[in-house]
Amino acid sequence: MPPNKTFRTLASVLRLMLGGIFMFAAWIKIKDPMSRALFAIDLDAYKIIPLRYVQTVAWMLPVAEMMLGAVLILSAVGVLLRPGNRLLMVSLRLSSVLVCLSLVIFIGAMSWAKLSGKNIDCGCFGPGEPISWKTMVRDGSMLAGAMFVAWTAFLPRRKTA
Amino acid sequence: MKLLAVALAVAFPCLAQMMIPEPDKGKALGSPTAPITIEVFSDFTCPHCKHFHETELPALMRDYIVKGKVYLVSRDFPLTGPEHQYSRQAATYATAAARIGKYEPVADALFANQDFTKPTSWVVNGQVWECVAAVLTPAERTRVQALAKDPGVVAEVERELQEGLATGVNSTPTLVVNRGGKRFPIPSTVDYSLLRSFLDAPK
Repeated sequence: MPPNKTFRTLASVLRLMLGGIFMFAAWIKIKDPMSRALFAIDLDAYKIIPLRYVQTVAWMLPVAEMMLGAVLILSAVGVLLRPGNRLLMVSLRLSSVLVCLSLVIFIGAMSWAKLSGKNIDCGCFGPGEPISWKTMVRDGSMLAGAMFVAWTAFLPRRKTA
Repeated sequence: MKLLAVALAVAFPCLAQMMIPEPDKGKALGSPTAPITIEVFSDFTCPHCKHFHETELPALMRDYIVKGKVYLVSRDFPLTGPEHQYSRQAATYATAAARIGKYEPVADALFANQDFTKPTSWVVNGQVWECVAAVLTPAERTRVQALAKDPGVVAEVERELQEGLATGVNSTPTLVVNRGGKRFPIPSTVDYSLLRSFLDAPK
């Protein structure tokens, strides 16, 4: 069944919000050399990535976040303006799924650190934010929103006259 | 002045992020005019602190402190619990030694003899004073023993602990890097190469 107008509006708003949050989170991490170095320290504290790759990943991850956020926003706006465009639909579906997947990875890493008894920073939106139930709930809410966004991106569209 | 700083930091946690509590010069290394100040919150019974003191600290000394790039301030953060029953006593002696300019040799001795597997170690048998006294002259011993009973020294240890708690220290060692008016708590597990890239990064 095609989604109604309220449903589609909510999905569009969530896409723009998630895209904006991803771009903001990325900008905080790469805005200057000190922020980049601090993010590398936060990333290394998880002890998931081998030390020799930490600096590279600390640079690539925010860039990927930035691109993903931008693609999600552009696709969401594009689909609103040109509903029948197949390329935009593919881009919207792909970016929605990737946002979901990245949030699953982020929450998984935080849960693992918390369960391992590590008192470390989350690294989500810059330094000075330790992993806590608050950060888990916040990212969990974002994941719920992202799943909704991904699900609606795969629903059949209402036929236009 | 120090008490006012702590009171403000406890009352307004956001201020704790901006203020550098006045350092005890006896516990500081390097030039106070260095562009970066690093506060090290540590405990003499903590094995990670021993590792930091014996490996990362000499490297920091060589690469940054001697060159006037970093001013390093040691802050005692005595832990509590079954393995830390002599933490506060060690911190008190070290703080007393700092008052006569002997913090570094006392800290070196306490960390060098921190071994939970040896019954002869002060962390096991509680002979903290014997470990401290070994690196002091007879005259210094008398002064340090007297200072260790001084309410000012006892209060200083407690104040540093409270400063750490106000800053958000929840494990030791924690480095708090002060750069450009901002304070950045750095995890104790930080690799030295990553710490260097942060210290070397332009503002």
